[in-house]
Amino acid sequence: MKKTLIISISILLSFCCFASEGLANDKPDNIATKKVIIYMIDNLSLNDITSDNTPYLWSLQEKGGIGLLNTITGGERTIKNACSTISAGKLAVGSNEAHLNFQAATVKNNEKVGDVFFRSTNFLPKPENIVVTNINIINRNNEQRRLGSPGHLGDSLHTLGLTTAVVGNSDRFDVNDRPGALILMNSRGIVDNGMIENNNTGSGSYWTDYALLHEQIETVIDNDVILVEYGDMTRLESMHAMFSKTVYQQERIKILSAIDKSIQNIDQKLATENTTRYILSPSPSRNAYIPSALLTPLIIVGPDNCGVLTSYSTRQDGIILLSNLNKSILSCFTTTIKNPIYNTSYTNSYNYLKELNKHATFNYTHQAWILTILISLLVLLVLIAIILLYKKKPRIYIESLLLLILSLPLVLLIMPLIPVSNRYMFVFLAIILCSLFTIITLIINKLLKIESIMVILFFTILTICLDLILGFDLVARSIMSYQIISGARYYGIGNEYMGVLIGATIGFATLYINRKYSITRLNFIAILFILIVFLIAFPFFGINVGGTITACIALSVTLVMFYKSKIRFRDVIAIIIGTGIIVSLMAFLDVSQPSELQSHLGKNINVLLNEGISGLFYIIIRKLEMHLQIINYRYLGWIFLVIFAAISLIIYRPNQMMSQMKDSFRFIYDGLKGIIIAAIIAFIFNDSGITAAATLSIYFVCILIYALVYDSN
Amino acid sequence: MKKFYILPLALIIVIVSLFNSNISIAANVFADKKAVLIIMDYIDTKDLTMANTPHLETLVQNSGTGLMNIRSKNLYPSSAYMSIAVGYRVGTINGAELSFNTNEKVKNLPNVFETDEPYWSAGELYSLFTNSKPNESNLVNLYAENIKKNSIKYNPPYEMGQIGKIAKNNNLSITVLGNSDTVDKLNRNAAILGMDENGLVLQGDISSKLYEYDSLMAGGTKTDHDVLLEKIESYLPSTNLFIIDLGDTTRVEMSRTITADHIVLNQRKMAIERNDEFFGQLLPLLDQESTMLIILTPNPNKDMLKEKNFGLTPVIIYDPTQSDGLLSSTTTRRPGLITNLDILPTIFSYLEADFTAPGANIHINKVDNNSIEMLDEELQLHKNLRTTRNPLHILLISLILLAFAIGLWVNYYKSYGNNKYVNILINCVLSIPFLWMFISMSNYTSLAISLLITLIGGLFVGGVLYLLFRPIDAILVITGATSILLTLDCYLGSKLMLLSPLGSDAIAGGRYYGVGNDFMGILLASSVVFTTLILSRINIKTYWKALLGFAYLLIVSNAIGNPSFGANVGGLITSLVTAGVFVLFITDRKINLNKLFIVLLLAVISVVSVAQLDALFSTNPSHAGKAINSLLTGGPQVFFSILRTKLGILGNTIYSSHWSVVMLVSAVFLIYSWIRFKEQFAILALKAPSIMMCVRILIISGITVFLVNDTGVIASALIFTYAISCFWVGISEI
Repeated sequence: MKKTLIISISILLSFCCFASEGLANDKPDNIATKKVIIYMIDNLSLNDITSDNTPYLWSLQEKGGIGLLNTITGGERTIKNACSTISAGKLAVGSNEAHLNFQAATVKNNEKVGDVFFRSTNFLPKPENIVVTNINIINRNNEQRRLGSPGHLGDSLHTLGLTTAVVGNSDRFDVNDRPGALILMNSRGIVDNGMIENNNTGSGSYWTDYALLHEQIETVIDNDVILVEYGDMTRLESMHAMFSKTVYQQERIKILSAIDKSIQNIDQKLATENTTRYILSPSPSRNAYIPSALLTPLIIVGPDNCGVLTSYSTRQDGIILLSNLNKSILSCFTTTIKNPIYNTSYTNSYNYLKELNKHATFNYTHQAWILTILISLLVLLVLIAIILLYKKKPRIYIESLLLLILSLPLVLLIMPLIPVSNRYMFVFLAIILCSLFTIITLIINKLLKIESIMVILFFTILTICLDLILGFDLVARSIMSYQIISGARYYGIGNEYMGVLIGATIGFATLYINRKYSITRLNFIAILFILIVFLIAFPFFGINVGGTITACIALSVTLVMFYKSKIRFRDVIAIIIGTGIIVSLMAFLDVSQPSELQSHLGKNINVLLNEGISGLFYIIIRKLEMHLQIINYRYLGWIFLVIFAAISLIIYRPNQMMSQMKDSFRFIYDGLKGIIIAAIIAFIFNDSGITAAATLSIYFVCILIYALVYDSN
Repeated sequence: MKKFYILPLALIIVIVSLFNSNISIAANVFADKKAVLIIMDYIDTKDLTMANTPHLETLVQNSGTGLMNIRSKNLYPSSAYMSIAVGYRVGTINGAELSFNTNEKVKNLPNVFETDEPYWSAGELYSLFTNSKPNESNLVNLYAENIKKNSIKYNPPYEMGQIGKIAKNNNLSITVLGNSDTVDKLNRNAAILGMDENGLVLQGDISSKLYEYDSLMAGGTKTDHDVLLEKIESYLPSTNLFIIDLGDTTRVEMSRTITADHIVLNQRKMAIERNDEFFGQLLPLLDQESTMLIILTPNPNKDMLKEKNFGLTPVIIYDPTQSDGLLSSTTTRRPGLITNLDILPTIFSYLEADFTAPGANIHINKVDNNSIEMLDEELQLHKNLRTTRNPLHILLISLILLAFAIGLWVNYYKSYGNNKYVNILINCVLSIPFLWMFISMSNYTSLAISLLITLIGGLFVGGVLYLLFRPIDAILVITGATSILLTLDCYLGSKLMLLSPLGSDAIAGGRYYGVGNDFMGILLASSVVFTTLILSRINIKTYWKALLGFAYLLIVSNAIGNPSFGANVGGLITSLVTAGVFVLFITDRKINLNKLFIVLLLAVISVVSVAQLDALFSTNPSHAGKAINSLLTGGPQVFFSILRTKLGILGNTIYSSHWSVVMLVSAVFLIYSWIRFKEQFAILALKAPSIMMCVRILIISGITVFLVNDTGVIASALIFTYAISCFWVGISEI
């Protein structure tokens, strides 16, 4: 009990030492500007901005700040959901017909749109207003899904006494398509002013009449926030399948050139030094002609913007969320709202983003394929190892196979350092590197007489720890980790590597103490465990709540088992209390930070404070849904769970072979128990805990086989 | 010395000419020959018999008639047209039906735009999408690029517009006339038949000029026959191949969602009668001495789908060079049955064009009765068979599982007194394939009767065999009868097999001739059991036994694999492996993996040789022959494509077939028995070695058939059934 408390207190102390650092943080101060112009070019990709075809956009990105918009919304990555998300400042959705927006004075089916709007909303718009006809459905959709509230941006601007206007549309002849209004609407579905009827396509043409568009912009020049919707990219996108690739590219280049000239024209007329301009593409092009387009370019040209745009939400240089744009626009007018987007300096921002985009898209697109292949190989290696064990083959063969398996997480962690853009090459290179690590560890084993598996485990722990402390972003960029584009997490340690870190740590500790038992070694292990818990928990490093609970419980249980073979009830209570205190402290530290710096935990606690028990209930439901979604993925999750339950049963109700091993290698047996506990806790306390449990199982299997090899020898 | 050069040169020339004779037909175009392809979509034989069609009846009396398998790779109506146009079973995209006259204004492109004041002409849009300008006279498909992109996703990838392309390459002119537009929807699928690889049709008119508004007609429009006839007359001198969409029957189908069912039937009847009147006016315009006339129905209507006929529609072909009768092709080798792949070769063979196509030329078999009524009866048989097949299979599967379960129960609890039930059930199960060879005589008119015939017939035969013979003798009798009957049927054209519930399904169109995998499994298993058991009773030297058994199994293998009979490649490999394993077992050789591998290798080499010979020398190559032909011309890409298709079918069969349950249960059961009844196995090997030999050979056959056949699950399940039956019967004897 005493020792258990000492472990918990040590972890607490380590937190307190770093607490002051987390609380001290200085934020950028924005200067208020008078006008914002948003140029909305949907389906734009980073590769579309070139010095040859779009010289003005190119100059803007050099002059201002450029980043990549992660276009995740509350639903699909559609323009309607994306505009609603910007408007809400949180994840949100639109509705099927959210693009059907009109000027209030427009007559449709012999009736003024304003009158129809009044009938459904009880709000009579002014003739110059633009009305979002689906506002009730949009609100209902978001309320039902407990998403953000579209209209927040419009409301906030109105509260500041500012006016909004939208010009342009994406109409395809009689098919009305005006999603731009969704960004600037208020919660009643009203934009103050605008010209969005199809007269801007002029002379019956399908494409935008830019001269007419420029004339229309001049009529709304007095508004504070003006959104210009360039519809030609949407028009092209709608018929992309009909084009041959070459002709499509020619048309795209033509359209982009026209848009570039148009923006230049408008800027020359309207932009002053107090004008902030946003060039954004709310949703990505999904056609096969435009590869790597899920992250869309965002250019902000304003008094404070230059270099690579970064967001507090993502903490990833160059990655911005749609929801960040809401406060960013508001911060142009008031200093009371902090701009969630800040700048980072790079020598060549565009090239940096291009590389980042390429890497993120490669990981996102090929993650499933590459991991399926590598995990299949891994399973094959395990099977071969079992067969070799069964056939009592020399230890070196089995050990080599185990080294190959255990080196995979480490190899996938350092792979982002090598630029590979071909999935076959990636797999090939991963196999080569695994083999290389295996050979190196075997050589170290020969030279230094250190168990090769311990070496590989040590390097795995060391690399992850260094990455978390020094911010190399290896975990964030690894293909085995969370993906930026999917938007589940942007920083810290994901569940996959949390599993690897805990598994490798327990594995290393187990072998270390098994080699030679001494109190000094035990104390060293205790310090290592404290460090691991700290790295997983601390808001500036791992910031993984489920991981913290897992690490606290599993590592504490393992350590207590090392100290004394039997755990008593009071030990369990002490571990639970210690874990609770650590998580509370972690939450306290996170909530104490400015809101833009808060992690998921801090934000969830704020939800809990604001919405009470219903907020907590919603968070639990959301986490459970994600849990089930991941387990249900191709039913593999269920298969894994059944296998894992069977393994747990073998460990806790050992058969003759396991009992024999338990007697010979008590510490290894305790370590295996520790890994099982880690997997169970990870599964319960993490929304994608099955991935952590899966990575932990690698260490379980390898340590078990290793122990059996030892035993048989 | 010169002779040495001449000899190989001559050999090369012979080989090259052999190849060329098979895959292409010499180009010799006679401009005066014409073909007219008329589309009367969404009709059934029943619709034709119900309507008053005097002109069609006259035409039928001088033509070939038949049922055409129309299946394509997906359910879009355009895919049926594309399959005909490509001469391959393919799929295409929604929207492929949107072709236009070049100068026609486009009001609506689905999911792209719509307008009441058209801005673009179809030609302008085509130029925008493809960067190439069509001629004024051309018809353009605005989804051509999209179709092209989609076509490469298929396995194997295809090139659209083969009819147009072949015509272009042979200087033959194609004219497409007519449409199936309703007041609110465009439907110009007929243009798919005539377009080339770029989505262009040489000439024609598919615009709104070809129909007139009529509020009383389905879809609010009807084909203007006067205008259509005028157009035909004007294009006649400059056309080699006419493609004419009569439209009205399609309109009935397009508007059926808002129409009462009985009105739909009436509207379809009216449309067919209108079309018949049109035939009355059209036929005099054509030179019947030099014009081939094809009347096609590429898609089934909803009433046909309700009756589970998604694959067979009527087809009438008037060929001035042939007499009247039933249509057939080497693809189906069955009179009265052709496939949509055969239309392309038939047209271009008639027009004497130079072309290559996977399908086969249609010919007309002279018969006494080629009426539509007779086709309707034939179709009814196929529909009944399709409806009855699944319940009958489930009944057989249930009986097999019941036999397994009772056998297990009897032996597990050592309740040997109940062995008689096991034996009767096994006799019943093994006699059902034999009974099903004749069940088609009932025409499958009633599902209940078919089920009763199977159940009562099976139990009766099983009971009689049990009363008359010892269990092993009963097995010998029933497997002997089955093996001989099936072998004879194979040599006589598989007439009984094809119409059996274990035979092929003409509507699904998987296989039209030869022996399918279901019967192949039964034939192989019954032959192994029969041969082994009968040889065990003959007192001759071992090598004579080996020779006799091997000879019989070779006869069976020939029946299964010979391209002229069974034409089942996987079956041939399995049967040769089985024959090899049989020899090894009967000569008391120890079986190991090396020997099995050698046997398998020899079997594969033999089969590839047979298939290659078939491909090289047969004018009517089987599937395997065609596959080898494709390999020779297409290289490794084709090989992998075939492999992928076969693996896809295997996966699909494992997932969806009820027989997977039998196979899985059998496999588990065999493994379990091997562990649980080890003692019984040992005693069986001593007391009834022939039975043990049967079980061992059948296990190897079952595994082989699963590995080398695309639908090997069923054959494997059936072979394992024979193996387990032998095991139970053997145990009951000791």
